[in-house]
Amino acid sequence: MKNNLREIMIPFDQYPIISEDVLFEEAVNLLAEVFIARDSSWHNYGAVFTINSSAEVTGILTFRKALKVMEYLNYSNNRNNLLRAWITKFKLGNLKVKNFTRPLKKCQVNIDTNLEEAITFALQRNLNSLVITRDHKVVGVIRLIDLFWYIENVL
Amino acid sequence: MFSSYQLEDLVTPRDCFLTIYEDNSIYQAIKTMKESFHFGAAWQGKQVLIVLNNQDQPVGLLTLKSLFKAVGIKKLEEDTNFKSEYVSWYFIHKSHQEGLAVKKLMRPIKAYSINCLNLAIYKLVSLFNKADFNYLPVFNNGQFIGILEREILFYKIKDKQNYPIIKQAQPLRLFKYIRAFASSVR
Repeated sequence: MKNNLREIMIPFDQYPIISEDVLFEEAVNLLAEVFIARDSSWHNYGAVFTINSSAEVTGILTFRKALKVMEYLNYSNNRNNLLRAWITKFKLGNLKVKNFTRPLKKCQVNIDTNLEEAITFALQRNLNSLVITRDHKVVGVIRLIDLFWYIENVL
Repeated sequence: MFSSYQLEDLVTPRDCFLTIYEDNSIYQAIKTMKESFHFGAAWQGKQVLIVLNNQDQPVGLLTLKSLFKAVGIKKLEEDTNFKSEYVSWYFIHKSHQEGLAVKKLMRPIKAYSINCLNLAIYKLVSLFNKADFNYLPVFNNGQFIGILEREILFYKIKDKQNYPIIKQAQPLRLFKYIRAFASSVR
């Protein structure tokens, strides 16, 4: 029976990644692609990782965050001042994805953390997925649904 | 700009979800949730259950996060400070006696719901962002008709027909609009 995060997590190299310098729109396209690419391996990713030019992981963009940004973009479209709205959209529309990602330290746990602590951590911070690290390096991701299969072990 | 989508196009009908009774135990809920993952097609099912009362009326939603609350409750039982309170002893005793039931973990169905079908899509986005839930029940004339899922909403508005905002915010197009605006003013 799997009882530690190492055995449950999705290895990092199987997760979608994107450069932090691409436009926000491209990141949203990738999020949508991985959403619809449901296959029998059940890798319904709700997020993409961003990496810098040194291939270091710098953040995570979730579709929850993407939705919030989309709302703001639409709000700027509804303002009365048309020119101001367009300038805002121009600024936002050309911003890079790194401006919208969540810093990793807010959602990461060490690979040696036990299941119960990982679940508590995710609940306290209202997270849908956890980034797993070893020696400060990202090694994988665990989603709530991955933890769910072992909830009976914890209860 | 988000187009005015009809909410009915986005709602997942209630028949697509499995149900559970509010007095069922958490272990039954876990079992039903696992079945839900394969409801309809393998691994394509939903991660939420509709909770019914003993008159078969929907009274709540049970999500994955709701089930995980049971872990938090279990941790409370091991907390010395918590156990030292008289009320806590009573709660722990009751939990052991009756077992943790679904109704103690579910989200009441009317706690956060949509009661109007003529909502523009951008208002739905705003609602999800404020509530920060993944599922919102939808009512029509007081009747529960289905659930709106945040993931599906995201995917729908990502669809190019409804999401031209960023594409339009390109320097050349902006310049064309400014030029057109300037000539209309002359």
